[in-house]
Amino acid sequence: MSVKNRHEPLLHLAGVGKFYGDKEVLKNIHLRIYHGEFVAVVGRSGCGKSTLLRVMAGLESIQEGKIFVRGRELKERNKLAKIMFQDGRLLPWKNVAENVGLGLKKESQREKIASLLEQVGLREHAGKWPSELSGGQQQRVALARALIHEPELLLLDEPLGALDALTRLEMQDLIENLWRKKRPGAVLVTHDVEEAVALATRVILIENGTIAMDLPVNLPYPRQRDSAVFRKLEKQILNRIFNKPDEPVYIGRDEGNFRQREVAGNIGRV
Amino acid sequence: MKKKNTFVKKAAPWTIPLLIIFSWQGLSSLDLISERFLSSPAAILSAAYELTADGSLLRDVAVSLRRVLWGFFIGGSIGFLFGLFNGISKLSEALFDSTIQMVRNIPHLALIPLVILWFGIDEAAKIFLVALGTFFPIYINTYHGIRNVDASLVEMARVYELKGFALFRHVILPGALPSIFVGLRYAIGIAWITLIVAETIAAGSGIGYMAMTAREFMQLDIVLLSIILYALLGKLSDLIAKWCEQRFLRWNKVYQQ
Repeated sequence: MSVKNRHEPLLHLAGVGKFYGDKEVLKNIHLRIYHGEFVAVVGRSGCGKSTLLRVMAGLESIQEGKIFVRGRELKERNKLAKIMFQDGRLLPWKNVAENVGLGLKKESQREKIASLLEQVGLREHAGKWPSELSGGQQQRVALARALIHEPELLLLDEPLGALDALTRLEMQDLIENLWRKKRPGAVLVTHDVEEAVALATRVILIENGTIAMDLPVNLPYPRQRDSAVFRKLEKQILNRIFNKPDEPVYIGRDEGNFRQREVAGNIGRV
Repeated sequence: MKKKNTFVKKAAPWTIPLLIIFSWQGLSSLDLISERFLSSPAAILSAAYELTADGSLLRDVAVSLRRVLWGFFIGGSIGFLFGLFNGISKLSEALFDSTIQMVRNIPHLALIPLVILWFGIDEAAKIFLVALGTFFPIYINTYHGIRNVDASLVEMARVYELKGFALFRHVILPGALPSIFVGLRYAIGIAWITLIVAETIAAGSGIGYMAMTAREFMQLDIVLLSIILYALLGKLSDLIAKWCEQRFLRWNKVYQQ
C-alpha cells in the first residue's frame, strides 16, 4: 500500500449493488477514483449517495460487485479512508484537542494536534468541550480529526449540510485549501450543486442508485463562482437533475455507468 | 446587586428548615408541645452531646456507615459488572437478563425473615440486604446506559481505529456514565432505606439499634436524634454522589454550572 502508483485507482467500484431488504439502493455502480481527484457526489435526497459513501468506507456490506482499494479487494473497513460525518460526531466528553487526537498514537500527538487546530483556526479552543462550540466550529474539529491521519481517501458525508450559508462558504474555502495541500483522493457527498462545482474536479450525479452523470470540472482553483463557465456547469447539472433539456451530457470514462438518455423527452417528469 | 442575588439564592433553601426549628423550639419552650410527643431541638442536641461524649454515638454511626459502604460496594460492583457484560454481550444478556429482571420484582425487604434465618442478626445479614437493594438500580442503569450509547459515535470510533478496551474506555463507558450515575444516586437512597429497616428489625448495634433501645426506655430525644442522623447521612452521601456526577460529567451541559 505504500507505493503510490498514480495510474492504479485508489478506489475501484466494480459493478457494486446494495440492497436494504428487497429495496435496491445502489445498482451496478462502476467507478474509479484516483489519487488527487476530488469527486463530488450529488443527487436528490434518498438517491443513495450517502450509502455510496458508506460503501466506499467499508461501513456497509454490498450484495453485488466488488470494491478494490489500491487493487486489493475490500473485505471490511477501508483503512485508507477517514470520514467526516454530517453531524460531526465529536465525542462530547472529550475536549477539542482530545477529539482531534482520537485514535492517534501517543508520539508526536501534541504537535500534530496543535498544527491541525491552527490550520482549521481553532487554536484557542483546544480546551473547550464540543458543546461549547458553534456548529461550524464543531465541523472544523471533525475536519481536523479526519485530516490528522493524513488519509489517502477523505470521505465527506454532507459535512456542511447543517450549517448556515455564510459558515458554509467559509468551510468550503477551508476544505478546498486543506485538500489542495496534500491532494488526497476526496469524495464529497452534497446536495448543493454549487458546492460540488466549487470544490470538485469531477461531479457525479446519482439517480435511483445509479450514476446518471459523470462530469469533469476543469477549472482552476480558487474557483470564480460568478464566471460564465462555472454557472454553465452548474446549470447543466441542475438541468440534468430536473430532467430539463440541455446539450448532450458528457459520458464519463467509466464503463457501464449510464446510457445516453433521451433527455428532451423527459420534461415535466420530475 | 449581583452579590445580593447570590446571597439570596444561597440562603433561600435554609430559611424554611431554620424557621421550622426555631418555631419548634419556641413551641416546646412554651410547653405547647408535650415532651412525651416531641422533644425540643435543644433536648435532641443535648442527647447528641451526651452520646458523643460517651463515644456510643460515634460507634453506632460508624457501624451503620460501614454496613452501607460494604453493602453498596459489593452490590454495586456486581450490578455494574452484570450491567456491563449484558450491555456489551448479546450472549450474556440472553443468559442473565431475564432472570435478573424476574428476581428484581421481589421486594428485597421481603427477604428479611429468610436472611435472619440464614445469617442471624449478624453483620452479614445487613450487608447482604443492602447489597441486594443496590444491585438492581445499578445493574439496570448500567445496562441501559451501555445499550443506549449513541451507535453513530461507536461507528465513528471504529473509523478512527478504536477497538477493544480503547473503544470501551473512550466511547462506551463515558457514554453510559450519565445513566450509571442515575443508578448510583438511586442506589444510595435504597441502601440507606434498607439499612434503616434492617437495623430497626434485627440488630445489636448501629443507628437503628440505638433508636430501638431508646424506644424501650421512652427516650424520645434519642429516637428523634437517630432519625435526624439517618437524614443527614443520606443527604451527605447524595451530596458526594452529586459532586462526583458534576465532576465526571462536566462535558454535559446539564451538569455545567
